Amino acid sequence: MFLCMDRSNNAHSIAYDLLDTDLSSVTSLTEFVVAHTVAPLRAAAGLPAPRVGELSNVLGEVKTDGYLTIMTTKPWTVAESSAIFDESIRALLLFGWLFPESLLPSVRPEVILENLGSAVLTHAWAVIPRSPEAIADLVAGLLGAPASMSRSYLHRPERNDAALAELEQARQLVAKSLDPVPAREPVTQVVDIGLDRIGWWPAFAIDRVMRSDVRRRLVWFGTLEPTVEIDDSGEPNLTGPIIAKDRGVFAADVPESITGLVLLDLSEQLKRDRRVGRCGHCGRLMPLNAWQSKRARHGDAVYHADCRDAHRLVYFRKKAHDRYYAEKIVDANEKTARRVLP
Amino acid sequence: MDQTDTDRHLSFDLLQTDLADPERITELVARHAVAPARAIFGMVPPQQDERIETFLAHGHFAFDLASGQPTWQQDPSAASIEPLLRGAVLVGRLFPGAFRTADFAEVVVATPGLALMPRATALAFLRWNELAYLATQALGLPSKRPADSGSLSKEPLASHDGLDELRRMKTLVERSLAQPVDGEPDEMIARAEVGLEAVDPAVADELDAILRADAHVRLVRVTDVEYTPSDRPPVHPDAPDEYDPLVVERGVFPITLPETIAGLVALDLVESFRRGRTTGICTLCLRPMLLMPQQASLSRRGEPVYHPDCFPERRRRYMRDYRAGRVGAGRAKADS
Repeated sequence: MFLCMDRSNNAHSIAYDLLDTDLSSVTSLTEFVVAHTVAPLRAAAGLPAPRVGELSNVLGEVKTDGYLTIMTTKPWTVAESSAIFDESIRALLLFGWLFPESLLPSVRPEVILENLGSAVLTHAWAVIPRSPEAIADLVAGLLGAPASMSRSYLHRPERNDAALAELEQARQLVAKSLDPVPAREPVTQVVDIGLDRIGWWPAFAIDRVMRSDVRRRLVWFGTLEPTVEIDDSGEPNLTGPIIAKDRGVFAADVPESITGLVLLDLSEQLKRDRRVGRCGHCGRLMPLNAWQSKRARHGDAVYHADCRDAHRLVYFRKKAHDRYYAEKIVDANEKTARRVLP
Repeated sequence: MDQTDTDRHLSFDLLQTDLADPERITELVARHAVAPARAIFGMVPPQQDERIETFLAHGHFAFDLASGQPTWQQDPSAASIEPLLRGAVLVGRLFPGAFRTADFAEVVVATPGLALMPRATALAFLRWNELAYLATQALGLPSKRPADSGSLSKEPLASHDGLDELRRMKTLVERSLAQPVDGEPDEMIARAEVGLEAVDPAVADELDAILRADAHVRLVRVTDVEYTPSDRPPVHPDAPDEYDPLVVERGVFPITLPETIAGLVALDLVESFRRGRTTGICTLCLRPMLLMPQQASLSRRGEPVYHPDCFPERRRRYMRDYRAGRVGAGRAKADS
């Protein structure tokens, strides 16, 4: 499935957005939460970005016949691609850390961290339908202000001082990392090799948090699908085995706390050495010579010496394969034409 | 061994390695720990019967004549630092107590940025016969300490733990590369082909548990302490020269650093897994992106792909560079 995701989120990172967010303001914090929880998950499902007053005409429709109101949502599915994983898992986790009471126990962060792939594929529904108004109400509860919407099983505005304190701690670390490096450090000579600079203390603090809270994980991109049939009374019955739908595995960096999430995003904004590029074949970092460095700056692909050969082989194998099958199809069509036509 | 060997995967090499043969273990460690350390100094990779003069003659390693400390004659590249640190973890865990410095690997995982120069030097100077001695000792076989093995501790401790961990990981790598789960007898698992690597879910679970425990994302601050002649007046005319520490800082960048041998092999293995046909990396922001069919084709050919909002930014940068180049050329022409 190919979807054109609106990548407007890409322009602003969670770390830099957090700097501009007033953590005591319901409006400001709501904007932050909507931009980094509901918006990426909707983008992954090919749904429109959240906006105020959207519910009745964007995600579904509300029908009422006087005393019974039925709300229906449009069908949607999450793209089965690892491309949506990073943003989706971070969005699900952030929402869970901020509003754990408004999620079913099976969708809370501690459970999601055990089943990353299936969480992204099957649990996005827990956040996607939430409107900006509902998020504002949850944020009001988070800050200890009175909530206006009625409570339900999946909408429980609760004060969460621990999450707010963690957001504040992460914000301070991001702010310190962007400070000009203090001149009072021990006698320091700066050698510019194209990397960003961060002072000794913030760099140490960020590294310590990342070491404890950000892990490389192997994501099993699969789901468990029960074989269910509806019986005569309309009740679902498990009639067969639970089948694991296995889409394969891939590696990803996953944070295990709010601070880890913000700092992982911050570290992804840092520049690489000017003489470092990513090999177009194997995806690993590689040192660049002057010629490759210029190519990389222009956005052209660069390769390790042996990857270049492998890449050419793959290219020619694909080309030969396509030509072979194209000829086979032409032959088959001609044969069919000879057999069918008089 | 040529320089491109450092790009090879440790996990795949491990599959080909007989872990009861000290020569094969030596080759493995030389390729994945010593070669990356030598590469950072531009030295030749390790080979049998090498002499210290052979690899010191090449590359750009230097001692500061005044302080006697090693210095970076040429700045280290960020691309070479990650393989070097991983190699240091491999040697430190496989041969604990091999070096005079206690806790060789612990220091690397605690302060990777500060450990860079000392560990790079220690590994780059490790010769083939010293490695072979350590490997033989780790296997519990009779071994003779090579002459001039000054970088090793007096009585390197023999430890089987590292080798046992390598053996366990070799089995796990074999299982992960075995035929995927198609055609299970009870048909409890259905494979959906989306271009990702197929691994038995039980093996994937095991690998994930190892990674979660042992592979951490880190922020490395590339820092060295060098010594410069002091400005302070000498205490008396015959006093030896004094030196002041100078912190040389080259910036920060993120890496993924494993803390055990299991983490190291698992990390290397999962880095070889594809991210699927529909996933590309934006050339501007380096984040994963969902590809449209045309972009998927571009990406397969090695052409750059961009997020919709990254593309205009790239064009702006290109035009800015182009204009700056023209202005610079015009100014140079006017000056001449």
